[in-house]
Amino acid sequence: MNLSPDFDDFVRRCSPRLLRTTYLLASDRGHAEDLLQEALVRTARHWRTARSAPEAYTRRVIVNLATDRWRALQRRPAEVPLDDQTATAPAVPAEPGPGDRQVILHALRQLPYQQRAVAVLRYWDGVSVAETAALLGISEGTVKSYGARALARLRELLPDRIEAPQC
Amino acid sequence: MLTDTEVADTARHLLASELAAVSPPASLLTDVRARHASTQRRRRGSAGLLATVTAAGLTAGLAGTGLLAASPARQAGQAAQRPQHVASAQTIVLDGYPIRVASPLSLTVRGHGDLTATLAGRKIPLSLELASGGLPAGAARVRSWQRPAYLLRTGHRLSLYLPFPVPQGYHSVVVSSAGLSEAELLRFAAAITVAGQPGFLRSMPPSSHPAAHCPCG
Repeated sequence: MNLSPDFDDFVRRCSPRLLRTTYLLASDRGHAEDLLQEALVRTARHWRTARSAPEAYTRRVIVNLATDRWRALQRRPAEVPLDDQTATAPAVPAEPGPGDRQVILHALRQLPYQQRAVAVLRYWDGVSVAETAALLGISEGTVKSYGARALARLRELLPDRIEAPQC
Repeated sequence: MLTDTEVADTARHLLASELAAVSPPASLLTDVRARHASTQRRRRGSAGLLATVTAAGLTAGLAGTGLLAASPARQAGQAAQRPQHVASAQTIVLDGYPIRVASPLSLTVRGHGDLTATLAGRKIPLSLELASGGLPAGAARVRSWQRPAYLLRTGHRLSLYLPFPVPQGYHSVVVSSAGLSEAELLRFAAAITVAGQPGFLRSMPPSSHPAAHCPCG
């Protein structure tokens, strides 16, 4: 079955936003691109179902894939860094240096996965508490709890970036 | 002390500037469409990716490796008729270290470091990197949609890096994941290079596999 032009429009319009969400969940640019493409292939496969709300459908697939990947990473040994000749530069540096602009990305990466997922969905994507709970398969109370903890942790990690405005 | 809403707003603002440069690859839509079309072909019961490999390309791919003793044309014909999954194990040799590909033949190339091998019973992640066009070896990652058959069909070359020294006495790396046909595997094997050095690859029948006689099994 050929893909409709609607699908092409959807990909062009929404893929940058979806990639950024995926990147925040996966913490790695390469994996984020992998997950996004897999999610879009699945959305294409179920386009008749997804076409009424394709972005929400794809976001759900992305969250499921990111969660699956996170679970898989818990079960396997840590990746071994390659030597200088073969390594590719990480998308997010392990430790932000002085003047590094990716401090918030690094701070997000420090959060436990579910707190990070809640923070990304709630505060980056603007997804409601109820929808976040449904996406992650947790209760609304847990979403609120994780969200509060994530913000508290961000306050600790970014004291110089997140501070009260000067009068 | 800022409220939670203000913290969230600040974080969102910072993220927006940090993520400004993050955008999908230009080939995203093309790749999605290609994978979707491939899936549809497979669902319709055709030979899938194999059907899209031209006989000439397959012949050249197999003959160029010296992996097959029979005539390339005959092998190409057999490969085209063979089921996508075969029962027998295949062995390829990586710079003196055989890679035994478990039965059913299977291998998936995913993102950086996502391919896991079992070496002497210990799971070890492998890194696969892609060299294509003007890129130096290892300059780009292999994406999950760039599966070996697809890569080879489009003329890419794969480089396999072992991110660890292979311990002396252990020379079996078992790679397994989702499906590749035998022909696809052989073509994949033919395209593997180690640190950009081709020509190390040779085939071994499973019966003469050193792993059959060593503790790593």
